[in-house]
Order: sequence, then C-alpha cells, then structure tokens
Amino acid sequence: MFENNRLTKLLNIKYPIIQGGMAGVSDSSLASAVSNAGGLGVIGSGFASTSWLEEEILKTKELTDKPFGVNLLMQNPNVPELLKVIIKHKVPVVFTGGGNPLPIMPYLKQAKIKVIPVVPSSRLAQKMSQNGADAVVVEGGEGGGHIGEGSTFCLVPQARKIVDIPLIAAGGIFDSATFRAAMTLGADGVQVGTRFIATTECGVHENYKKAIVNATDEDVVVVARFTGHPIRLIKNKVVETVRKMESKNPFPEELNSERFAGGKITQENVDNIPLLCGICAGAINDIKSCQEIIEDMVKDYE
Amino acid sequence: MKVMLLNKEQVKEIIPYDDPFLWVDEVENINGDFITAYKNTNESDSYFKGHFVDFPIMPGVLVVEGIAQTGTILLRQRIKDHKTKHLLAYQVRSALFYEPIFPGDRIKYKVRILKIYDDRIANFIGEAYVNDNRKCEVRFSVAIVDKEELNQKKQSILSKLPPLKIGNKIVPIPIIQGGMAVRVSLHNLAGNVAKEGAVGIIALSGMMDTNEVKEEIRKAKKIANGNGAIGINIMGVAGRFKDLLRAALEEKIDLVIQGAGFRKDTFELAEEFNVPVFAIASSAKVAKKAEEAGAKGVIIEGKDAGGHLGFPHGHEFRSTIDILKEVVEEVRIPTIAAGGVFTGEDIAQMIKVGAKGVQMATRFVATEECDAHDNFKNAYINAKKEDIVIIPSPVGLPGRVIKTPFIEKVIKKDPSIRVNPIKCKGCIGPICDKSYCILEALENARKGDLENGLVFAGANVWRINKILKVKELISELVKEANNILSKEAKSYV
Repeated sequence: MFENNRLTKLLNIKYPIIQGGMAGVSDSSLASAVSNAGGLGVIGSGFASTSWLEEEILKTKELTDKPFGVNLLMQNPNVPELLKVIIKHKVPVVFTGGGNPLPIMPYLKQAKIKVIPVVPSSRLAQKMSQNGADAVVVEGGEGGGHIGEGSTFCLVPQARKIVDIPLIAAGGIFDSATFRAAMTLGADGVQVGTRFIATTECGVHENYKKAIVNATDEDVVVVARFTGHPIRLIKNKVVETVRKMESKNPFPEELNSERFAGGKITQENVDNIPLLCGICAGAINDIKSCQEIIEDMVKDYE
Repeated sequence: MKVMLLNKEQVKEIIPYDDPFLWVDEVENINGDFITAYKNTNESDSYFKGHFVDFPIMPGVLVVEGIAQTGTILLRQRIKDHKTKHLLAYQVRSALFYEPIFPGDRIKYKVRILKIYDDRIANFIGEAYVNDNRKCEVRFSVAIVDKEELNQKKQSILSKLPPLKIGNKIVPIPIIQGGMAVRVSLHNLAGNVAKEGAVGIIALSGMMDTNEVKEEIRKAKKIANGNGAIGINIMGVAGRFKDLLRAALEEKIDLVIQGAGFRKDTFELAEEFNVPVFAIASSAKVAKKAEEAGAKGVIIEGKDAGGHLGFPHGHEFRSTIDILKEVVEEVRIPTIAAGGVFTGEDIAQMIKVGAKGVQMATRFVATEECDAHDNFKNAYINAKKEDIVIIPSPVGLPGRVIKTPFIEKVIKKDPSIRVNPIKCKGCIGPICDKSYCILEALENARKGDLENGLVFAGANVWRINKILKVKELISELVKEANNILSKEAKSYV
C-alpha cells in the first residue's frame, strides 16, 4: 500500500503516519501503541528531565520492537543532556520544535539518527532541507499547542514546490479525508496529534480525553499571542485567566510558556491545566484505539 | 510598628529624589525581584488642595510615580555602578485605578521586576494597596542611561556647532567651503578656510594639468598649516578625470567631493588612498544611491545654490531643508546642507534638522583671500536681486548666474557665442551641446573680463555688501550659530 512511499521507506514503518510529539501527553504508552499499529510513535519531551526521558525510551523499547522517535523542544535549556540520552539509546529518529535545530544536527547525523524538524513556513522547510534534514514537518496553525501563522492547506503545496526531501503535513489532520487531502496537496505523510490524545492508550486523564470529545470547533481558541508564541487549546479556567491578563496589555515575560508544556497530565480536574489541542477536536467524538484510528485513516488506500 | 528596612533618609541616599517629589517614605522589604514600600498621605498635603477641590483624593499619576520610584529603589540594587546611571521613564502601560486613595491613607507599594533587557531597559509590574485593598495596578518600563553618555549627547547636539567628522579626521568647524570652478577656489581661499579650522575645497573642474593640481594642494596645505582640512571638488564628467583625481590623492588630501554624477572609479580610487568621498545629491533617492555606492557623506544641494543646479529638466526645484529632512531619514552617512546657506542662523537651522555640517560657497567669494579677480568679487557686491538669473548651461543643467553682457547674449541665443569647433578641447565630451563654451566664459570671468564672462552665484548673492577676511566671515558665522544653539539648549534643559 505504501511500499513505495518515501517516508515509510525512510523510517522503516508501514503507514506514513507520525504521532506528533506532545509534551506531558505522549509518553511510552502512546508512542509504543502508535508504532505497534504501523505508524511512528513519538515521545514528547518538552521541559522534561533527563531521567524521565531515559525511562520512557527504555519503556518504549520494551513495549515495541518497531521504530519510534523523540520530540525535542529547542527552548528547553537541558537539550544537550537530553541529546546524550537519545544518542546513548540509539533512538531511530528525532523531531525538533520551538526553535532552531541546526546546532544539534551534526551530533544526530554522526550518531546516524534521522532528524525531522517541525517548521511553520515553507522558507524554513527549505532551509532545513538545505541543511541536511532527513524529512520536514510543515505545521499549520490548525494544530494544537504552540502554533505558527500559516494554514496547512496553504503551507503544504508551497513547501512541496521548493522542498525535495519527504514532506510531512501537520495541523488539522485526524481522519481518512484529511489524510487524503494532505497527500493530495503534495505531502509524503502526515503528523497527527490531537486525534491520538482521545485514544485508549494515551496516558492522560480520562477528563482530558472527554474534553476533546466534547469540544466543538468554537471551544478551541488561541491565547498568548502577545508573547510571540501563540498557543491553541480548549477553553477553560486557564484560558479565562490568560485572557483576563491579556486585557491588561501585559509584558511578554508575564506569561511563562513552560506552564503550557509541563509534566504528565494525569490530574482529574482539567479545568486548571492547559488542554492543548487542534481545531479538529471539534470533529473528534469518540475514544478509540490507535490501531483503529490508523486503519481508518488509510482505508481509502487499500 | 514593624521594623522597616530603609527610612526616608536612607531612601534618599539610594534614589535621587527629594521633597516635594519623593513619593516613598519607607521601604519595608527587598527580596530578590520584589520590593514593598510605604507612603503616608496627610490631609495637609498640597495635592489634595487642588485634586479635587470638592473631593480630595490622591492623583493617579502620583500613585504611578510612587510605584515607579519604588521600582527604581529595587532596580538600583540590581545594576552595577548605579550611581553612574540615570533611570528614566520609558513606558507606562495599562495603568488601572480600582479605588480612590483618600487623605490620611497609608499606601503600600508592591513592585516586581519582570525582566531586565541588556542592562538598558527594565520591565516592571507594580501595585498600590491601602489596608489590603488594591487601589492601582500598573506596568511600566525604565530606561537605564549612562550619565556620561547622556551628557555628551546633550552637549554636542544642543549647545554649539558640533565638530565635523571627515573619515578619520575631526574638523572643529562644520563648514565646508564649496568648490568653485573654474579656478575661483584655489589654494589661497581653500588654505585660509582650513587655517580657521573649517574645510577648504579646491575646485579641479576646468584644470587639465596634474602639476597644477599638485601645486595648488601643496600651497593650500602650507597656508592651512595643519589646521582644518583640505579637499578637492571634481565633476564626474571632467576630462582627464582619473589622472587629476589620482594626482590630488597623491598629495594626501582629506576629502573628495564628487559632483555632477558619481562614478564607481572615484570610490575605488579614493578607497585605495583611504580618502573619504562625499557625493553631491539633490534628492533622497540619489543620496541613498550615493551611500550604497560607498560615499562617506552626502552634500544635499537645494534650489538656492549657485552654478549648476542638480534639477534636470522636468524636476521640481526643491529647498535644501525639505530635501534634507527626507535624506536624514533615508541614509546613515553624515549629511551636509548646501544651497542658500548664508548666515549662522541658517547653519543652526540645518544642524537642528539633522545635518552634520554645511557647505557654503557664495559668501566665500566675497573674501579678500578668494582666488578670483576683484572684478568678479565686485560683481557679487554690486549684484541686485533682479540681476540673478537661471540660464541653461551647455552641459544640460540649469545654472544660476549674475547677469553680465555675456549672459544677455546667452539669453538671446546669440550665434556669435557658439563654440568654435577648432578651439574646442572637448573637455566634457559629448554631453556638451556647444551653445557656448562655458569653460572659456568662466575662465574669462574669474580673470576679470565680465564682458565675456559668466559669473556663477547663489540665490542670496544680492545680500552681500562687503568683502571680509575669511577669518572674520567664519568667526561671524560660528558665533551667530552658537548663539542660537546655546540659547535653545538652555530653554530645552
């Protein structure tokens, strides 16, 4: 089905579907489930510690013999230490986000680890391609968490024109129609985040999953534009607090972005934690297994 | 009563405030980025009498001031050598006043530093409370300014004419004597201008012999005796352009002024000798181009200049100051104002708009030291307003002149003055339309033959009524400009 797809060949996976790295959300249980289902599971490291990451990598290896990846948040000052752990355990592929990955690229290359930066524009996609990235994720603002300005619908065809390496579309992709659309726009594969939160295998509290299931598109909003790092999430008390602050014309440094990429989200009361997710949450109405989701996405290609 | 960290006297030792504008009475605590302090209000405080007459409450601006003063106490703990810095208001945003503060209230300030950027700007958030009730919340930024740096800026910009930087050389008086061809500004004028600490310019246009160039520069330098600066002016269209320029550069001039179109080879050659080139421009567009081409300064010549004007057919004649205002926004290199600059007041005005100096020519003709014939100088003294006309020059630009019998012929397009092809030296090549020989006419005039001569002059030439020494002229201009600048500096400070 995808035997000749450049991305499945590059990553040695069955389906060109990447589970987006989500800090505090995608740990070994979700990542291994996605990999076992034929996609590529990714551990989201965010602002996590070295020991946490090492443990999750080892757990993932226990739970699956398929390839998986780690997502590195470049804003994390601890990146050099995390990198050592990744190299030590020969993680097959690293995704990077929230900053420039070029400084760490040589180390990953030398360790024969594939590098796939997540970028918000075609220009940066081209730059990554020119600097040795193995593939590139172009992410539209439909996605959840920290987002860029462009939309997936416009970014993917523009990036395709100027990028030769495998191109992965992200932002707003959650089912067979959106998967097909992304492939039609020129992508070699997709990165899916929000859909994989509402899964039986995802380790977040049931209430977070329910919030996604219950959300309509209007419940998913953007805050913190004043910081220069806008965030998409579900309306709750956190959003209320941030919006109240925004009405006072605050300085950018008054909002700490670490708060939005914190530890594992297992608490029951999800009103006081940021529920990052994409606009597609409005169209997600059930909790399914990763296997079901992936099979449903690729059904048109059978 | 709680023990305070600092009393009012100790606060005064940290921040440079005092009654009646100190709005912090005591500091309770300083902890990292956070400070708490108090201000006690009293019914008899002056501001309550006028704010408001029928409803005395603490003015919001004073609450903000008190919060900001508290913030600077904290900031002064955080910056190195804080006594060498001024902390100035930079931004106030989102000041919110929740409830009024009444006479007799004891105000508690809580202020936090959010971030300090490069030791230049600090962002704060502050609040004012009375008995745990929040009265005000405000965000603000403070600029951290080096006292020494600020003082220097204030002095050089405001109180008197600043020195002029030409490449690596600093010239005390920012006046450039405009180069006047043919052979009106030679060694005697340029040398004496430099001697007074300004910039003397020898005009090379019309010269053909490199030895003459070298000789003029040597003589000028001897008169200048190390003062001021000596430069040359050369037209981009001149014959033997490169040879003349190289000869001048070999004599170690301080400045090249390039008029009538700038050429790449001027910049290359001057660069070789490490001599700066100032280009003449009459628009922001051309000034920008000059900067990109490598000019180290640009002379902005407006419509009131003498001689050839940089406004070809179809271009609006614009005043120096109008063009200058646009140029200073567009370019980073120093700008020199030229064209119609006549008095010290004019100089001060140009400096205020952003010029780093001025170029003046017409006034320097009416000096004892000017190299032209006395008849030429007398034409300046005798000129009336109606004698000044603009004629077409054979080089294709308009030119401002004083009427002479020769000019009457030019206006009438008298065929007798057309260029004799046998005598033509082809000095500027094919751009000359040969309607008359401007080189010969200029040379005649400077030698005193006004009958057959062309006298270039600026629009203000009619205001000249006597011949001065260069020294007198420069000291008069500087005195007048400094007078105006220092007066305004005083009213500013």
